[in-house]
Amino acid sequence: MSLVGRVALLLAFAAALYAVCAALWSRRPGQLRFMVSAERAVYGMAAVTTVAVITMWTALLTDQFNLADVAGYSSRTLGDRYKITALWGSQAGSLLLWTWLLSLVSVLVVVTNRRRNRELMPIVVAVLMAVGVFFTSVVSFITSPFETLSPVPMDGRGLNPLLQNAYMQSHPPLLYIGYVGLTVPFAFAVAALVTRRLDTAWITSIRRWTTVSWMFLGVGIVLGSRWAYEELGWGGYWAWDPVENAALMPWLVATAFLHSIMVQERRGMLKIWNMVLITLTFSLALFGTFLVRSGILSSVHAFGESTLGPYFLALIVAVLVGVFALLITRLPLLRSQNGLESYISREAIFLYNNLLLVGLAFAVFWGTIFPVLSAAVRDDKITVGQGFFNQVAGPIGLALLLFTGVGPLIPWRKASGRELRRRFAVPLIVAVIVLVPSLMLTQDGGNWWAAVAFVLAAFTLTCIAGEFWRGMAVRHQSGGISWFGAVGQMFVRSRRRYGGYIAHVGIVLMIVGIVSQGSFSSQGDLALRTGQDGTVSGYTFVNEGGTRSRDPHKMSVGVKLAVYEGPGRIATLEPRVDMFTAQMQRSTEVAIDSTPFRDVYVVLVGLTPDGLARISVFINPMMMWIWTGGIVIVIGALIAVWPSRRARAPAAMPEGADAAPRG
Amino acid sequence: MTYLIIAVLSIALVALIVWPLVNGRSGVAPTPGAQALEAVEDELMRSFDAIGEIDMDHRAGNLSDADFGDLDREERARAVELMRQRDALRADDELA
Amino acid sequence: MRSRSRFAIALVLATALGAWLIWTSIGGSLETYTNPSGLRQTDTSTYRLNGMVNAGYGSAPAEQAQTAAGLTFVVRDKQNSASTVQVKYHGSVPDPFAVDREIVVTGHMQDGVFIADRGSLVTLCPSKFMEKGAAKGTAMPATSKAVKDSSGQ
Repeated sequence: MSLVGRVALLLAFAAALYAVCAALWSRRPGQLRFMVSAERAVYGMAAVTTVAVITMWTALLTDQFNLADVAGYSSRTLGDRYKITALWGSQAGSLLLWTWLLSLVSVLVVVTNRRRNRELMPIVVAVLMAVGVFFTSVVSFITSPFETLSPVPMDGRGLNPLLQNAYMQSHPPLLYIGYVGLTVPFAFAVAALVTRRLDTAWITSIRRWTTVSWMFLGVGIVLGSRWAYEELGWGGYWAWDPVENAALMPWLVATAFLHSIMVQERRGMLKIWNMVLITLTFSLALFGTFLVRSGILSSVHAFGESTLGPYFLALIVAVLVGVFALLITRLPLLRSQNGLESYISREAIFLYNNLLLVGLAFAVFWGTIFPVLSAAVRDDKITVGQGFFNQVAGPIGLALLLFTGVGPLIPWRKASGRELRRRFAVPLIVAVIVLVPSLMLTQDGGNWWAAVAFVLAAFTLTCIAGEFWRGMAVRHQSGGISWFGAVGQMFVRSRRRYGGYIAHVGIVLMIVGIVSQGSFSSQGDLALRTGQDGTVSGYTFVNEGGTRSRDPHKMSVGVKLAVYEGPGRIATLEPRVDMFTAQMQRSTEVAIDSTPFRDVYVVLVGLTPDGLARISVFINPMMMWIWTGGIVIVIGALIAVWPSRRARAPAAMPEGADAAPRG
Repeated sequence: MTYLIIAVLSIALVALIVWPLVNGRSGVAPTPGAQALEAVEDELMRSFDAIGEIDMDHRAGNLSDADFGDLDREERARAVELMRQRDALRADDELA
Repeated sequence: MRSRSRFAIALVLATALGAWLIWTSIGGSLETYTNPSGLRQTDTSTYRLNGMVNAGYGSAPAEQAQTAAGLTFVVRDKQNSASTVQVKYHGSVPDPFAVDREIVVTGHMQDGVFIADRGSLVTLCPSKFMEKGAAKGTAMPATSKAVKDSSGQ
């Protein structure tokens, strides 16, 4: 088993290496068949990598404890679905997952470009497979998932109970699809640079890839937060921890890129900026992967003997240097076709949005690697607390919220002052109306910035609603079609635009949730005997009895709590603590009651033998909006990328009011 | 058994990759005109989208009449130029 | 060209704003790492204390930490096990907290005892294994207050 796996990965390495060489060679005159061969090598690499993955899964499902990663992350009594998850439980296994996803994505790229972008494809394949060479060499020569153990243990150590839930099953693959997917726009960018085909063709090709990858990356991050919220039991979901920041940074820069490619498409501007952005996105994706394996941030995570750091760092440096060199030599070809005509134009707003996003990513980066730098420069290791990140992210987030509302209403090139005033009248009125209750809400907390957030959120939602309304109205009037038909037409003909608006709505919902929980959450500890009650923030908890249970795997203590809001009983919560006997591992099971207005979140800290239950209660307002916002973002992104029937460019002009001057 | 699997895998992979070299199939060659034509057609599609968007913005009230006139005229002129380029490239292609 | 300079102005303004924002934010949030050997009786500034947990803190640390008295435990230096300091902590205790577990806690020295900030206790994974987030190579939201552990240990 181990041998088959190792050989499969070696074959994958060889295939990837060959693909790079063959693809590059095929650019010479008369050597086109090498491109076909290279594409076959891409398919072949995916095939053998799949064999390796299946081998690993088979080993996991059949309890082959002679493999170190099976013994380390699985056990006889582990459920089958978690045995499958255990594939990405180990370092080597997770890298195998990365490699496999990269190989599948590469196949998809090759297949969808069989008849297009023929000049770019050799370099695209070369770049994708070069990354493939890196990863296959890592899993073949440095840390293999097929390492064997001797003597063979009787049973495995099992999967950490904290990982045995649906979130941990889905979070890594989804996140990786995001990372891997972002390699594609990068590959196309490099191809455009190398072949000097710097017109906008490469951007059109990667638009969907970018949006879909961005979406997966975002979903991965949100799922990770949800996991932390449900499993870690401290009442929160985000702590600006290095591993969290590692995924957030590429997402922020990818968001910027998503917007700025629209500027290049429409106005031929920001060409150099786009090249820099996508390189940065890809580098940050690699850096994120590097960060969690390198051991440089031993300040919060003791990574011990991971030796992969230098290799990843070398790859990142190679990428940056290589692209920089390419950029310098192609600079004349990257001149903007147009200039910025007005500070109040859509391209300007996109520019501000980009600066904010990249700025935030930079701040997060700075805060995350601060300990490394301080340890290198001075003798003591200094970390940056959560306060820094919150203080920087707050204002930037609010500014982004504002632009999310303002941007869509401002046309390209320049905005007419008078029209703008009319356009923003209603949203401003709504903002003022919301201002009063917002200020009242935040008066005692001193959280005036939460009030600002609510006002901006109301403003932005009104702007977006207005856009939908006007879109429907215009189509309804001009086409003589029903309102329903107007909506349909909007989503058929202008998917990208309206899908984007829906994603914006999702962002606003998330921000409202984040701000509400951040400003208004409350916490209290209670110690209750059976029958006793206690109150936290207006919610009364009655201990209706502790429970103890035991099975071969674990010992559990729990408590049944009746939750009252005033006189009415609103929920029954049963938090518990499990102690897994095999690993002497304690695991807290949080109990949460969610409504759109608040989460009541209860942690059982302990149950004494005489029935005294100590609980920690958190009241988190509007938490549900964060998760709901995430779902709305996904819906918006899917609508935006959904393919639409497109005829080739029509022979004649679309109908318009005026005839165009000929010539 | 293991060795059999390994042997089959290796041979299949090599065969897959080497076949086109032996066979001499070249796949779709990038004719010099093709890429340029693709690019122009993409630009043209975008230009038509832009014309439609400008019109929609105007009707929806985001653009004043004066601004609409300017932008519409410029965008249409651009589209006309692109169509001219496209037709020229197509003619080239047919000759080639 | 007008538009070029507009570009440049926007960029410069943004960078200036950003730098100012970062500068003011960093000020209040810096925390220095140290281990028990590095603590001085006379130095009462805030530190992030890193070390290993010694035995002897009683049987139910999570519950103790919630009482008024709090949880009292001893942290030893990773390099020099003779160097120890007593820590007094209130707040939530991550699940993997156990003897010989590496921890980080924020607080300051007072009368020979390290008084920890509420809720700032973090457990690190044993050095041989990777943090589960690392093991998956993903951005696991491990937090400063909660559980981080490696594969079933």
